[in-house]
Amino acid sequence: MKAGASVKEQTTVQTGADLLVHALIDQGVDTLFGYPGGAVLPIYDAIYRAKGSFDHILPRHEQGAIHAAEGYARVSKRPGVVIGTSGPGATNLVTGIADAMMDSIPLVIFTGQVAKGVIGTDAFQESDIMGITTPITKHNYQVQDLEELPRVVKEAFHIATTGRPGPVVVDIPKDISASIHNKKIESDFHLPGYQPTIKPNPLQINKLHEALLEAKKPVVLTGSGIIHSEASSELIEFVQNYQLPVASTLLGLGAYPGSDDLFLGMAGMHGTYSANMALYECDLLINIGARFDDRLTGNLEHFAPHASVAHIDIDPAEIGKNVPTAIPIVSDAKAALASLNEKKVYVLDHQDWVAKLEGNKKEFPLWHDQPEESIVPQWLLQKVYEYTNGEAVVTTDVGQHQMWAAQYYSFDRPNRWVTSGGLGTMGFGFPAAIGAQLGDMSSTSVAIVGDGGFQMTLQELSVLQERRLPVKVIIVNNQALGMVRQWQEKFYEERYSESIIDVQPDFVKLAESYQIAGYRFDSQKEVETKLPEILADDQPALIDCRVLQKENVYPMIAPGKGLHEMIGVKR
Amino acid sequence: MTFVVEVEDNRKLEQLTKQLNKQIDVLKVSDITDKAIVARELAMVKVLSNPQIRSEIQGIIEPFRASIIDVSKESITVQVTGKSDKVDALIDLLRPYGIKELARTGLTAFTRGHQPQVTEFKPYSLLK
Repeated sequence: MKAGASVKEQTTVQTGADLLVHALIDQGVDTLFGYPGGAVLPIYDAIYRAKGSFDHILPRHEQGAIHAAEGYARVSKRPGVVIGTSGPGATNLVTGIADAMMDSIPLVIFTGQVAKGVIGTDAFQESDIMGITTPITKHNYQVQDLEELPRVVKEAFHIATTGRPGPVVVDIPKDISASIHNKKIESDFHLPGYQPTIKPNPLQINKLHEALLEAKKPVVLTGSGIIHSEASSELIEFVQNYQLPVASTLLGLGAYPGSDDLFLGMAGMHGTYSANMALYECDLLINIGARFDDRLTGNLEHFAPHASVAHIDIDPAEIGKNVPTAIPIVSDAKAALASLNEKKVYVLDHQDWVAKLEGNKKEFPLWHDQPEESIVPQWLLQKVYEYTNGEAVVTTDVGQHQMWAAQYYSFDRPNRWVTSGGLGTMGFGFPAAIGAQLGDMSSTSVAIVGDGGFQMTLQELSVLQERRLPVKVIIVNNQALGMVRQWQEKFYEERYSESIIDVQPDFVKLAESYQIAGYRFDSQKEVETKLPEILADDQPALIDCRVLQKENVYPMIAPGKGLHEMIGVKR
Repeated sequence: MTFVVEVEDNRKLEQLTKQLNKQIDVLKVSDITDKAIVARELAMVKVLSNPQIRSEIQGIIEPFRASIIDVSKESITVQVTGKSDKVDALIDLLRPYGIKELARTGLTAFTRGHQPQVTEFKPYSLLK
């Protein structure tokens, strides 16, 4: 902040880009993820002038920048800030923008645009990024006038971080960032059409409280809304008060401590038997900050068929979208849980139910084969958990390794788990780990990636080379697109169409070419003897773990089936 | 802005209004399907006509309170305002004469100043 103030004093003539940089400093931005280019040259010149005001991370592809910003935002609880140039710079950000939209991650993305006068003429590096990003952003702006810029930046940060968080794109034509100004510009804003409901309706809270007292088989479903609103302590108090069993969504992991007795595990397609059967058999389902995604619910006809559903969500459009809701509560999760905790606590008549679920947990635990020497991925994830004491920030791509990480890496606190849930983006995990590391330097970031996904964004090894960040990349290498292969095995009669990829780079040499330590493990013994030391080191490392190719993720709900129709529950 | 939409069920309709409400620039969304409303649409129809049949067309459009806003040797342009079914009816009547061009604004609507009580309520639906 101080450095920024001094820049302000020194510069008498300012450009639109300086105005932008000062607006970012005013927002408390300390880290930028961006890639320069023609249309953002004025902005990068202003960043050069403001050196020292913030750390600029240069990825080697814009997709790396935005996934890193997502990881940063998820762990640091501050918005991720991204800069890309016009045309291809902006379109390379699109996957990350869509990913952040699906998983409600607060991002503010600045894209360069060709000068106003040539917009619409197919100018060099022009793309209609407003049109492209309208359906995948919470809001987007194209700055039409220099005078709007400070207000737009303020609005963008406000919109991205309040209510249900999400990505906001600000498109800045080059002539605006290059133009000179020398007067004071007002930046106050008022958004009458954007007033998120934060406080719950007390009558609805009463209704939920009453339903709770009558329930014989209540269950809490925790979503990432709890993590976004930092409501974990309120959640723990609520759950403990009434001794409620808890199931979690993929993104909600860490909201409630994974090692607690009342925690049943992740629910959904690859969820635990006890979590899924709790959702299936319950008579009161209290959804806090989850959006009833199809990977959670399975066939909606068989989802919580006997339950009265209460749904707490800050986004009214999520309530009743997929599942009919008896008690809708539009509210911030923290505020709603705080109101619930103010109510008188009764002892519920549900001991049989809790005992049954805990019995399920014991009788139907997660299982996997355990050969003598070869590495099975489930075992590997357990070891990573053990060696990091469950304290690491874990990031993943999408697929088998993601599900195994969710199943076997138990999260006891929030903001440790960074995964691409809604969009399911390959190539997310590694750059997200870089951003997560920058967002929390006190923890180790471990990127759990597949050999397929890693090869989509591995160019970001350059960032590790440059910054020496202690990110550990663990490739769960089955030489296949594991989840695709699993579905082909189960539903396409083992026709492995384009899913076995046995031609690979030598990942150890690849790491070494970036001056990063590279390891290859083929046996359990190697993992046990070397991995603890590598994970404890303060240097970056890449570990190529060769795991059995034919391992499948179980249990599983086949597509179109209900929660109670799980397969692979027992060996 | 007035939108006329075809939806399968009330849940889809609810989702539609909620998604519109979510837009940052949207101040208010009202579903006026079951309200007492005034609804109007404007259409302009260029019909082939020579002086002989001009008065015939005049006779057709008169009950619709439509007006002729342009006349040329070969055609006249009729302007009509009203509910969509009225506009449809007039277009059907003019079609045999040969329609050269047609422009419709789509429906725009307001709720009436006085909303009848539920007991005297006669539902009017845009979907029916």
